Order: sequence, then C-alpha cells, then structure tokens
Amino acid sequence: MDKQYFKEALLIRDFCDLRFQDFSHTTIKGGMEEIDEVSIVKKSGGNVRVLSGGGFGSFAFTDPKDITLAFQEAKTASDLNPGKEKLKRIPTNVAHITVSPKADPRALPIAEKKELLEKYRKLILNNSEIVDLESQYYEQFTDTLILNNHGAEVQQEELICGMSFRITAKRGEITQLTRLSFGGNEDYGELLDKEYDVLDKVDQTIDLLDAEPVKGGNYDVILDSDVGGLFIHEAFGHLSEADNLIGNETLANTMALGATFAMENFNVIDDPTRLGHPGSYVYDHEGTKARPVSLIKDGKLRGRLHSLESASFMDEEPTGHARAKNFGFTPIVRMGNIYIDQGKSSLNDMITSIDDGMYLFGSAGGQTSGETFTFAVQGGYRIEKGRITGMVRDLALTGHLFTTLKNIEMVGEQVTFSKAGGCGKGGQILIQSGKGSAPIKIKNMGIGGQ
Amino acid sequence: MRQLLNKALAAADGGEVYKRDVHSTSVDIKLGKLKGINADKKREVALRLTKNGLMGAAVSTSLEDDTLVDRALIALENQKSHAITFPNVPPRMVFSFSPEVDQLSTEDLTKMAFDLSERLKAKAPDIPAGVRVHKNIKRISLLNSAGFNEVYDYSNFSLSLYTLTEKGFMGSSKEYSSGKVAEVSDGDLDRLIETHRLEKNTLTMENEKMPVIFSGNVMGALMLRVLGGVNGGNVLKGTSPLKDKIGEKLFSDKITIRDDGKMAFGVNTCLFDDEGTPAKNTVLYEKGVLKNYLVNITQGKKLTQEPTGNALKRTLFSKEIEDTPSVFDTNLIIEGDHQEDELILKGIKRGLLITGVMGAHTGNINRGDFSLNISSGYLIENGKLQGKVKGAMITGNIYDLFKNVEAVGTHYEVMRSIFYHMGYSPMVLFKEATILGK
Repeated sequence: MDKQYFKEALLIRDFCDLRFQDFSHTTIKGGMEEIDEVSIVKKSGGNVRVLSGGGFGSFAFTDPKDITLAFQEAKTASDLNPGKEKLKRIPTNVAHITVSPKADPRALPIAEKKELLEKYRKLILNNSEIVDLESQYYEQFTDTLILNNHGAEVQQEELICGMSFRITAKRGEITQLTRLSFGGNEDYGELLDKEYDVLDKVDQTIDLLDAEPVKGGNYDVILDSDVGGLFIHEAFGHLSEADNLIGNETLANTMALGATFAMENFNVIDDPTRLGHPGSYVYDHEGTKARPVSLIKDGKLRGRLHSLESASFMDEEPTGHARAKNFGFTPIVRMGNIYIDQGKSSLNDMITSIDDGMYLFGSAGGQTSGETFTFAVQGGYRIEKGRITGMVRDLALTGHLFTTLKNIEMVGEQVTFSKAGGCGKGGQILIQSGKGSAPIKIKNMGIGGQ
Repeated sequence: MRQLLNKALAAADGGEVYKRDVHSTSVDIKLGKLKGINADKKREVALRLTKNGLMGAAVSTSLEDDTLVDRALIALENQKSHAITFPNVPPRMVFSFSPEVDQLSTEDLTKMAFDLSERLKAKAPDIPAGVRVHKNIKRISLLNSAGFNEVYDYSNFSLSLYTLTEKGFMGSSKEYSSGKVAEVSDGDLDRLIETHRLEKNTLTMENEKMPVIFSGNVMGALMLRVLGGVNGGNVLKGTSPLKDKIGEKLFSDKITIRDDGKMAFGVNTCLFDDEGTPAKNTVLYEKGVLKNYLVNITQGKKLTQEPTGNALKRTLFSKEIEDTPSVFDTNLIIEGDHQEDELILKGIKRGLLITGVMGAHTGNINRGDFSLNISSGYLIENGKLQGKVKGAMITGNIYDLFKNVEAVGTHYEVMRSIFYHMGYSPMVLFKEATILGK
C-alpha cells in the first residue's frame, strides 16, 4: 500500500476522501462428509468520495492506477447533484491502529484450524439423527488506509475469526435446524475447548424433534439474550441509523429525540469501543473515532448513529458508525455492538409472571421494513401458569416496532453478547456487526408457527 | 489469462482462470433530491486447479498476483473436494448484452431518475417518493485446460420506484430489472399511487384461511423454496424432499416452472455458467410434474443428468468471486394457463393480494417451509382492494401451497429473492393459504 501515492492523488479543493484496503479472508468449510472447501482470498482496492456539488459522488476501483479516474468520476457525479453541500465537521485524525490478539490466528497453519473444526464436526456427527451439517471456520483481516484532504490519515488493522455451525436433525417427517457460533473477535483462543457447547447444541437440536409445533397467535414471551439482541438490531437499531433520516423530514419527526419509546429503565446502547465482540473497532471508514452512543435512555430516544453526512444534516456530532463491507462499497451508517442494557428482573421472576407464553432461544435471522419487523428463532419452551413445560418448535415472530417496544415489561439482570454478528443493510453483508441483550419479557407478541 | 493458466499447469494437472471485469453506476433520488451517485470499475480473478484428483481455488484483484497459484495449492492440499472435469462444450450465442445500456452515461442515468421522479410528482404531488437507477456492465472470461476459452458481455438495467408513508417509512414499490433499459408506463405509476393511497385504510386480519394472490415480485420468496427443492446438491444430501420424485405430479397442473439461462436480455442471462457449462433452458415442473433437478457437473454425474448451467459464484447473501460455484437460479420463469390479472382480482370474494414480504431467508427453506411477515398486502373483497393489511403473517409449506394454484396472471414482474433478482413471474392465485392475523 503506497500511502504517499494516494496522498498525492487527493483533490485540493472541496471535500474528498479515500479508503484503500488490503483484504484477506480465510475460510474452511465442512459438510456431512468432510472438509470440502479451504479458501484464502486476497483482494485489494480502493473507494474514493468527492463532495463538490449537492451530494457525494463515489467510485470504487481495484487497480491503483485508476486513482485519478476514480476522483474524476466521483467529482463528475457529485457535480451532477445541484447545490453545494458542505460537511459541518470533518475528521482530521492521524492514527495507526494495529491488532495484537492473545492468540493470533494468522500465525497458525491452516492444518491446525482444520483439525479443530474437524474435531467439532465429528462430535456433532456422532449422532444418527443429525442428517445435515454446515460447519465453517472464518478469519478476516483488513488493513485499511483512510485519507481525506483535510488531513485525516488513519491506518487501521481489523481481525476477526470464529466458527459457525448449522445443524439439522431429522426423525420421520420432522426436521429441525439450529445454529451455533463461537469466537467473533480477534482471539483464536476463544475457539478452543468448546466441546461442551457443541454437545449441548446437538442435544438441543435432537430435543427439538420431540417439541410441539406452536399454534400461531399472540403470546407473552421471554427472549433470551441472543434473540433479544436480534430483536433490538432489527426492530429498533436500523431506525437509529441516521442516514435513513436524510431528506426524510417525516421520519425525522417520528424519530425526534426525547420521544418516549419504552418503559422507564429500558436502555439501549451501541458501543463499538466495547472490546471483543464482532462489531468492535476504533475508527470508522470515514476516519471518525467511534464512540458509544446511548440510543434509548430510561425509555426515551436519546441518540442516533451517524456518518459525517447524516451528522451534518441533523447538525449533530458524528459518532463513528459509517462503515462498508469492503472497498467495493461506499460507507453507510451501521451498528457496531448494539445491546439492551441490564435491568433488575431475574429470569425466574419473568417466567413466573407468565400465565400462557413462551421462552424463546437462539436467533435464526430477521428482517425489518420501517415500522414492522420479523425474525425467526431456533426454538422455545412453553410457559404455562408460571412454569416451563414442554419444548416448542418452528417459530417466527412479527411485530410493530413502536407497539412492541412499549410492550416490553421486564428486563433481566445479565447482558450477554452473541458470538456471531452480521447485518445485510444495503446489500452489504457485514460480519462485523455485534448484538447483545439482557433477557426481556414482551407481552402480546405475534408468533407464527410453520 | 493464458500466462496464469500456464503457470498453474506447471504445478497442477488441470486449471481454470475466471476473470470478471465490472463497471457499474447507481443513482439514487429521494423526495426529488439526488442522494448520491456511486460507481465502480473492478477486476477480479479466480483460479481453480486440480491435482491428484483434488481441487483448490484462490482469488485476487489482479492477474499478476504472484501468490494465486500457491494459495490455490494450499487450498487443494487442505481440502478433500474432488476435482471436476473441466468442460469444453462450445456455447451457443445468447443475448445478454445491450449496447443501449452500456452507452448510458452517468448524466443519462441521472436525467432518467429525475424524469421519473418528476413524472411521479406530476401525478401525485402529495406523495413523497424515491427512484433508484442502476446500470451494471460485466465482461466474463473463462479459460480452462480442457480448451474452453470464451468471453461474454452482460448488461443489466435495474430501476426501482417507491413511495414513503406519512411517517416516512417505505410505502409501495415497483421494480424492473433486465438486460435492456426499462420502460415505465403511466399504468405502472398509477398502480403504484393507487396502492400507496390504500395505506390510509389499514386493516387487521383474524387467523383465517383464504385465497391469496402473490404478486410476481413476491413470488421470489416462494421460488427460493422451489429452488431449494430442485437443487441437485440438496437432493444428494437428502435435505430436499424431492429425492426420487422425478416424474411425480407435486404441484397443480396449472403451473409450469423453468430456469432459462438463455432468455434474451434476462436479469441473469449468461453464455455459460461460472464453471463453463453453456446456459440452458431447463424445465423444472411441467404442469405440476417434476421434470428435472438443477445440477452442476459433479452432481450431474451422480444424478445421471447433464449439467444445467446453474453453477454460479454466489450464496444466498453474496455474489462474490470467491464464492464456490454452487447451484442457483438463472432466470426462473413461471408459466401456466394465463388469465388476465384484472380477471383474477375480480374473481375473488374475499382474499389477499400480497406485494411485499419479510423473512424470506428464515425457516427451513430446503424443506419448503415459509413463515413470512406480510409487509405489503391488501385485502380484496368482491374483486376490489379494500385497504392495507397490518401485522399479518402467511405460513405454510410450498408443497401444500403449490397444489392449490388456481390461476397464473399475465403481467410479468422481476422476482426478488432477498438481495438478488431471480427471474420473472406474473401474479399467482392460490386457492387457500393460512393467514395469521391478530
């Protein structure tokens, strides 16, 4: 990466920035039979943005020799936009961030990582009712240079590794699918000694074959930390991303700071600076230093996540949440590590408060569209008259954001973060997006069986 | 490419070099103001090589990357994926490229987007709306050690129109995507406005079974499950319910489904797939009878079926060059005993028209299960749309639902499967589906 070459290419007038990235991604995948895919991807490329007209023009490239063309095209695109927008705050940070994990996966041979994945695979497959397995080790390292023509010069390494499993069990006509992840940060050591977690998930998958399908309807539910994290990511987190508000006055009014969204003592925070989770980082892809943001405080809307552009539009401080999947994409506002903070209720208190409901565990993907959201869970337990009874399966939840937030009645005492992140906003699948939660109780939640 | 292949063959038994040059531009207008213009010019290269019956791959952003061969060898030595026999079947010409799209400049795209924004505003000045225009030009080159050496150009023009609700959330929408420039009729704009205005009359549903129409666009959520069933890999693994069911009548005889990689100017038209098999037109269900699976070279051998040209570098959530070629759709086409859309609607006493869903990626897709939030759906009573349904879900399994196809419409729309377009379908009426309301 020739920093001087890129610095010399920056435009002198107006605002421009450049992000050049060396990207490597190692994947080891195994199916039912064997480890059938090992891949070591290495790519490099850049993305430039110019703000000389009424909005950003951007251009991505893979050949560094195209840098001049990239700036020309981005400027032409910006100039096509009528007007003359200016950013109110521009970062000028100069920093070099390197990673120093306790156990560095990059220092280990592929064979060692493969052996570990193989060990867990064999544990899972040692059960005749497991009929399908997708297992994966992933390791992603990026070295990103962020420059702008106001003096910002940030070079940042980011490293994440983890393992994930999709386990399918079948008995007769009933099939159940669960997911398991661990790692989700830079430390390879967190992938070791997970035999208990693996066997526990296998048992849960098999147990779900005996579970009853649930009758669709509205129930009081408890979401475990993984599902609670997915809920707050899908149902609220995306609305807190302020790029949605640019040019959308009505939505900005809906999301006015101070509006009451939930009960008192309900708090939501996004914190990229909290180390060790999928969405942990120091600088965003515009060179802004990331900071924790209190999104909901005591039930009231307190803050939002910003890029330079959205912060300018709202006349608020940038928060360091503009990130891109890789150099091929322009940064958009993304969550770092979003979580529902701890409350005061014990899990037992939550269970005993429910007459007819469910305790739901394990996230299985979700989606949001404005006010409504939906997500699937891996399974659940029936709660009847304050006691856990049998297991239930094939569950999907749906709801209206503002109603559901107000229906949260209890928040548990312990926040736990998920070991796998991921978010697909704008078609940019970003694995470095973390989520967590204390367990929460929601009344009257819409549940669809399958 | 030849130089890289020769270098690879010095260390391996066979090899394949795949090169993708992409040039794309997107223009985004919201509420009459240009939000931004994004463009790219990228080159990506993938090398696959075979040695001693095994296979390995590596990718880069440059043909001159010295580490490509070594990385592919490391992959080969550490995995047990069996070498494929690289094909060398000459492909026949397809129409995958339109110079008209290629020649569109950024200025042209911007003007198009503004013009559409103005047309919408002129028809409905009170409705906040947005327009997205995307142009994508690709050149795909593939050279392998069996002698295959082909190149094709691909163009795509995608357009989406959407409205915003009073609270600023997504209202109604309409998408277009093909190899040629889309033409937006006044009728399309009128329908978009009509459905937007129904937003004011929101309705809640009870739990009930009723006739349901899936719009062409939303059929993608169901076709993702059809695809999971006919995927040769899933058939071989036993995760598809369709093992040994070729020739059985599984769906209503009112529906035919095929996958046509050769469709002129289709959204996923290609000369050959990403391992060099020429594009084909494969009938999956003919009048409800399962006719073929979609298979790659390796699966085809095991299932004694010719490869269908569906080995594509993608996953459900990405289209990256590093994605191992696996079976996905090209242009899925839904056909049947077509009835006029208006007649289908008029024939319904009480039912739902679904034009948007969420959660297509959740649940057991390969088994055919679905449990979808109806993000955009309208209650039909006595043939007329009454209002927008809020908070309802539709659940079931496609192998039950598709037995109940009553009618297939006439106006084709591009289907979407989560992120990507997957072919074309008209609206489809199902006699009965389970709706979960309050």
